[in-house]
Amino acid sequence: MNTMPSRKTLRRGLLLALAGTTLACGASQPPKELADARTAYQHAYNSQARQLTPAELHDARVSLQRAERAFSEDADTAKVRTYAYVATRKAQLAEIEAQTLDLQQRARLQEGTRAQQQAKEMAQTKEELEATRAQLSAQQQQLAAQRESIEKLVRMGAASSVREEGRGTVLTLSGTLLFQPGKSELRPQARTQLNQVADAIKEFGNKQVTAEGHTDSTGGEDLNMRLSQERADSVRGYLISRGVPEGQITAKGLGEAEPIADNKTAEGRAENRRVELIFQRAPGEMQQQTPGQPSSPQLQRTPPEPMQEQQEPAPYE
Amino acid sequence: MKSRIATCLAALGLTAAGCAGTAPPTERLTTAQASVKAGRMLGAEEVPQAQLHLRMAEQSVARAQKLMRDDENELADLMLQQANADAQVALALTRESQARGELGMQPRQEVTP
Repeated sequence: MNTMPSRKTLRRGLLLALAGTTLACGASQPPKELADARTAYQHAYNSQARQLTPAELHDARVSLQRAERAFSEDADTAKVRTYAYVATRKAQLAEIEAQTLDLQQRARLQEGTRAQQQAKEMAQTKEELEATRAQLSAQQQQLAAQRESIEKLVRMGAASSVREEGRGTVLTLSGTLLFQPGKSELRPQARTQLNQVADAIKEFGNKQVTAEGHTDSTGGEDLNMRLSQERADSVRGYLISRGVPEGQITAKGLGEAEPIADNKTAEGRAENRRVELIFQRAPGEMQQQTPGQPSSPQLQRTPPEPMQEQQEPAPYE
Repeated sequence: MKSRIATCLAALGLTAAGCAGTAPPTERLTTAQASVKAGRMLGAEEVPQAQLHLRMAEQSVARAQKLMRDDENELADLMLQQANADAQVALALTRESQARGELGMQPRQEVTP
């Protein structure tokens, strides 16, 4: 019935086992601590500690030797066990500190790489910024040159005024100067002016230009509309003959619908008889603001006197 | 005459060997306590392996103090040597863990025996 060994047999077996252990751990057998210490030292010796923490590894070795000496003098004492214990810890210490040094070295390396990367990115950003700046500056220079060429027209008397509008730069040519009253053929003298205008347009590159004809309010509306269209066409045709690409310039007549001065006075009517050239702003192009010239810069040659060739450059207003 | 001196010396040696006559290892105790304190201050308790060694050191210190009260100074001294060794390992493990953290690495898996 009773399959369990009796308490007596159990105790006897245990005693035997204990005796066996004691015998096995005789004088020549080192305590577990010393065996551990030897293993720990061997482990540390085979690790990077040999290169990185040789001093600590040496301490561990001295510690192990002390334990071995104590063991050879007296095999199993508290002293041997403690010395061996300390030797184990010292070996571990050498290994851990080597590991720490290795990690720190890697961190420094990583830091260096990161700094390098950052410097590289910064240089690249700077380069891009400079390129953008150069591009912008070139664009500004181009715009300034374009504006200058138009303003020159006013100064030289080829046009009566120039102004900036939302749709672009508007150059006004005096109708009185260009045409005989009621006619749409150009006066011979007008050609000199329009030659300069043509040159300016060509300088503008591929910018779209619209020639808009305007009249004063004398005469019938239909007639004025037709006259303004014919005059605009006339200007366009001449400019094309002077080398402005056909597709770059369009013409339209607006009749008397958009006066810029009072039609009741002779002076006002003269101002209203005009052809405007609109240099269309390219999409995204900023309105040019020249320093010293507030929001709506306008350069005007006053008064528009008929039949006068070259004039003294007019002062800015 | 000669033999008497030898006997005397032997008696002295015996006394020295027996625990009774050894001076209390107060200096080593102070060192061990300071090391444990330093380990705690540097964050050894945040690093599992370091915490283990710190605890072993603390236990050894406590045991040594008890042995000193019992005038077992020699054994106490040995216990304190163990305490110091563990405290040093705890400190080293803490530093190692911090270096590991700076590299953005996981805590060490390997466990010291």
